[in-house]
Amino acid sequence: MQKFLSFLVRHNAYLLLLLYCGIALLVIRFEQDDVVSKIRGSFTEVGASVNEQIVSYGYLLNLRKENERLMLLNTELLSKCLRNERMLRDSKARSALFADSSFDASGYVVARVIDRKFSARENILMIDAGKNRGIRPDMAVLTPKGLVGRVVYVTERHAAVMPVIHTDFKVSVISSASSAMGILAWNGGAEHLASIEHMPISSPLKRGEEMLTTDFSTFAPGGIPVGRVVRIRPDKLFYNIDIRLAVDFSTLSYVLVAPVKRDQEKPVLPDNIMPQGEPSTINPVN
Amino acid sequence: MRQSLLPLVIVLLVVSVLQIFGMSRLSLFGVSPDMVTVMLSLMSVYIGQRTGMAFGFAAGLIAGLFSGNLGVNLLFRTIEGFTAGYFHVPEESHATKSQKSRMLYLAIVMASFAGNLVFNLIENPLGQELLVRIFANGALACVLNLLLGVIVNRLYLRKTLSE
Repeated sequence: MQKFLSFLVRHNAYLLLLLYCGIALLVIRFEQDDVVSKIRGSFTEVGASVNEQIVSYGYLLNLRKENERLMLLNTELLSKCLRNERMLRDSKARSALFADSSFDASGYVVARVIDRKFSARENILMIDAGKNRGIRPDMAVLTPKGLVGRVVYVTERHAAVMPVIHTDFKVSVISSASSAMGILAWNGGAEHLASIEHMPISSPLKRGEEMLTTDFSTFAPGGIPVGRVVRIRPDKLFYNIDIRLAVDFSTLSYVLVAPVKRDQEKPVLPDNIMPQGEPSTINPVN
Repeated sequence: MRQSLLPLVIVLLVVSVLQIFGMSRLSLFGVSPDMVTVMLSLMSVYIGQRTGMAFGFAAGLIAGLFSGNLGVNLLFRTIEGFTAGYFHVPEESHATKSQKSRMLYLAIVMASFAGNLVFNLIENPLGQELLVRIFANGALACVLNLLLGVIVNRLYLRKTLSE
């Protein structure tokens, strides 16, 4: 019998094939069986851990590429984050602009300050509104808190604003309480302080009074706050007055551009009205 | 005989492990070159059909235990060994090196196709059409394995086996 079997095994590959295939088919049939699946499960566990190791080595080998990818992702996320933060900041600044319910901003153009050149004597602001949004030279620029300046140069999409804190800027102002009038000027130095010139010492001006723009300014609508008197020193004919400006130029981000004033053509007084030989003490004021 | 088979068993074990954890990652359209098929073909051609089959069964056992598809692996590896055995070159044969190589290549192609056929008739891991699985994947497997066989034969086997 043994000889017969060995003969069969030695000479009949088909029988062996049948045997192997039979075992294989049996395994397929009982593959879900507990014992087989347990054995298979333990080997799968080993295989999985080996695979995990291989993958982790592969990860180490690709670390540089992965780092570069993460760096790019980081940059992208950072730029998104910065963009979102800026949008949030802009939105807050815009809503702050309209927060003052006593100020009617209809008809005004809202513009963002996109650049500013501040120095000890000459300051210029750049806003993101130009001819395309109806901005013209000599328009008044303000915030609900007070006067910012005037438009001096306009391009298609931008405009340059000469702020109150510019040595060439002058505007006539009036006290809200005593109606004393003078000319606001800035002589350089601290950006929150300006001075009022040509205020006669007979004026009943007091500290703490609010100064507003007058109606006879060629560019600024009347009644725009300019600042508050902080110091009064009498001189020979006029007071030397310091006022704290209403607008904080260091935090300026959004401004309103006032519609152009209708009667821009200020009537020019004939020379012969002025008394001969007496120099005019009043400088030409805008 | 047992002494000469032992190194082959070790080689089979190493090749199976390499196949499971290494070569199977080099996949082209879902088909990867199979070192085990090449080795089984080699054994069947140079040692004999029954040895090829036995080694196929063992290789299927190893691969099945690790991959979790025991029955199918046993079956198709056995079939591969059996198919390659038809191209067996007896030891006493006076075949030239190129004739032996040709037989080896034929064995690899046929074993690959047969193994692929059996596997794809039972399993469909990529959810492909049956004809695609059998013919397209089968042809690709044949080409990849043949390529592997040619490389192995050129680099190492041709010289040692002819000796």
